Amino acid sequence: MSSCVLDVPSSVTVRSVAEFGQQLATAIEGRSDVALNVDALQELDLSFVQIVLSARTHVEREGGVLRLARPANPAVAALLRRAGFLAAPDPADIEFWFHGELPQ
Amino acid sequence: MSEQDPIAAFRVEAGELLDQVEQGLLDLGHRLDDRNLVDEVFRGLHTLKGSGAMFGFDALAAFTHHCETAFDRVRKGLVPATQELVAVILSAKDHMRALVDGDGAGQEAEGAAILARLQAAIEAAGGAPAGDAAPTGVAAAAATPEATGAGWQISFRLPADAMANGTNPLMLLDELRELGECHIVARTDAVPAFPDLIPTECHIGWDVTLRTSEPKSAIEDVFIFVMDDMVLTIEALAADPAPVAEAAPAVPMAAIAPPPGAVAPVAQPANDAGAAGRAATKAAGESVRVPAERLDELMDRVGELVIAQSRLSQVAGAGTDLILRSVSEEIARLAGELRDTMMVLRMVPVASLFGRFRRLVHDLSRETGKSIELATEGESTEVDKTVIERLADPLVHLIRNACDHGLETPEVRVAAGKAAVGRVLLSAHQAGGEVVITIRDDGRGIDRDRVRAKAEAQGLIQPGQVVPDQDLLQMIFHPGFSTAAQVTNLSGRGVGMDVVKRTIESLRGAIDVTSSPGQGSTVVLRIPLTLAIIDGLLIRVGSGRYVIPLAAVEECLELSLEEDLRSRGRSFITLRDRLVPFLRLREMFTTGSKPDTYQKIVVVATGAERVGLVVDQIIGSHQTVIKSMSSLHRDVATFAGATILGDGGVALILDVAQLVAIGQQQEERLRAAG
Repeated sequence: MSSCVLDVPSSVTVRSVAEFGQQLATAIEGRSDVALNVDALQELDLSFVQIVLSARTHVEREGGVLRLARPANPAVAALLRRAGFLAAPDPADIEFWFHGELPQ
Repeated sequence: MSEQDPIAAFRVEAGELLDQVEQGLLDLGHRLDDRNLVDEVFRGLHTLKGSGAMFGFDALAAFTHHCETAFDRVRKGLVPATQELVAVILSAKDHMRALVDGDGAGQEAEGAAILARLQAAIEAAGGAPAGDAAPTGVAAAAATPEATGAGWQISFRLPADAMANGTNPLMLLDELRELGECHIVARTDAVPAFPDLIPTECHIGWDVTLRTSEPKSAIEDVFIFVMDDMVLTIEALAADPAPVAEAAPAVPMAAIAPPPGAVAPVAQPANDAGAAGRAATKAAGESVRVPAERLDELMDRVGELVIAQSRLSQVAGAGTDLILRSVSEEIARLAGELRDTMMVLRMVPVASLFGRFRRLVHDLSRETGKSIELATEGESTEVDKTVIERLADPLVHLIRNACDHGLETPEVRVAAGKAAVGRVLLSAHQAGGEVVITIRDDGRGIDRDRVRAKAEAQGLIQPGQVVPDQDLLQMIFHPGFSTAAQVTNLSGRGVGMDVVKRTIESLRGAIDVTSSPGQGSTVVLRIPLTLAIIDGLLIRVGSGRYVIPLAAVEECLELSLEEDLRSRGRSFITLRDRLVPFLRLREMFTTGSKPDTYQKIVVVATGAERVGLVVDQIIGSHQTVIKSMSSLHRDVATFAGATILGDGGVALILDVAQLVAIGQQQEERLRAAG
């Protein structure tokens, strides 16, 4: 079992999420610790959040960890807020997206 | 993981959406007060705008936005729907299609011109700038809150394909925020586990507490274009509710895809829209969109299989191996069933063809100033998709000619004691192995004297020559005939009717024309249902084998030597008290061989006309995969194509329509000779 960091491209939307999904599947295959680097991600929609949440649950069920390399950047945070993910967040979610500190 | 090209999928969906918008507008043109049609068109425009923006078609989204805004005023009852408005939106729809197909480059001026016309149409219809006019009708009703409570508790889940179809859930949430103070909580409990997730699908749901005085209908408006397929519940909040932030419990994002054995919470739709959504989703899941070329490819494979099966049958039949024969029969049965299934897959209702002519007639009606009603019958009649595609142009010409030149102006019609509205009937029905398409108008009819004069001028007939009526009417299909200055009431604008005839004949079809002065004309097209595989009757003439399409075969008779000798020079047989001409194929094909002792006559028919074909031997039925003739042989009128037989040999397929025509000519000659 090993770890890796997957650099998320600058754009992940419904138009490109299938391709990102394949990269993500490859990254988590057989690894126990996978970090997503979302620093470059600027253009995103719900498909990104959905696939990350789904992958996170899957990895955790397999006994591994999927995390963000660094706290979500403002673009990601804005989308989470706009989509209603931060209205009543679970502490684990705050930990996952923002490493414990919800941005104001 | 799904692998689809979202842009290509969007273009297909947008095309269908635009078709729906067009049909809605055409219906609206007849029923300007129909609110359902207004809503339908608005929904289409709204969806197209959202989808266009989603998939990067910015020019389309911007243009459609203007149209949607204008049409929204009709929807709200601020502006009445008018014919002019419908016509402008139809033009706008054409422009949208161009924007869907291209990138909008160089089309800005055209778009701006349409929008200017749209603005003028709105103003002409009595529309004041938005916000100035007092709401009336629907708008007034909408302004009356249905509930005076503190707001609404909304729960919704979009159809799984919503994002792939261009709906952006974030936009919907933003629209809800515009209605009042919102507390939005995303629910992820229905998101599938990663291996099962189709990334372009949307499985996130939302609970929204909305503090507003807006009515329920305002919320439904937000979801207007996905309402039919989604799960949506809207419940009034109590007048003195708990603080908003406490209205919805926290839901961990990671509550995804319950482990095996656990029961996933199922959203229960509380209204009919939800039920309809389930039904629609179910229906969508039961159909698959397949590119046409894949069907063609499959058809080719089935064709090859049929040929191979035919060879196997021959080999098995020639030997004594009973097991091989049994297997061969089994494969023959399966190949036959596969062929039949394949043929059904390729069949498309002619409704898809007829639908596009409504727009044509609408435009012609406006161009010519005539009132024209297009009636259609038999839209559910199914025809091979290739036939449908190739029928489109001939029908456009025929309908255009009927409207342009067949129908009179309202004044002339009223003076002639007819209804002011001219009628064009487009109908289809199946008859044996053919589809019969009829285009009938109740106009002035074909002026036979002018047809004759033109035909004589062109040297097609001699002055004073007696010509059967049907032959005279068929003159309009002669090359160069109909393009002349409006000689007949079916003449076109630079598009020769010969093009129509050539296309129909290339489909192995036939055209009949009838016309009554003052009462109108009828053009009947008879087209084979399919161009790919037919059931044929394999025959032998001399040493050559030929196929006669089985659908055209009426009966088979024996021609005894005595009858053969007796009928020399006449070539007629009496069939149930009716003289039927027959053709000796051995002589036509100059086989140079002696006739068999017991020749056979195969009686074939197209429409009411029959002809007998004298052959040496009837071999039996044969599944015939039609191969087109080479360009060298394309002009040989007697044959419609070729096919490969089980032993690898080639058999030509007889063109029954041509043979019947030759038989009729022979009959005319003999009658004329007394």
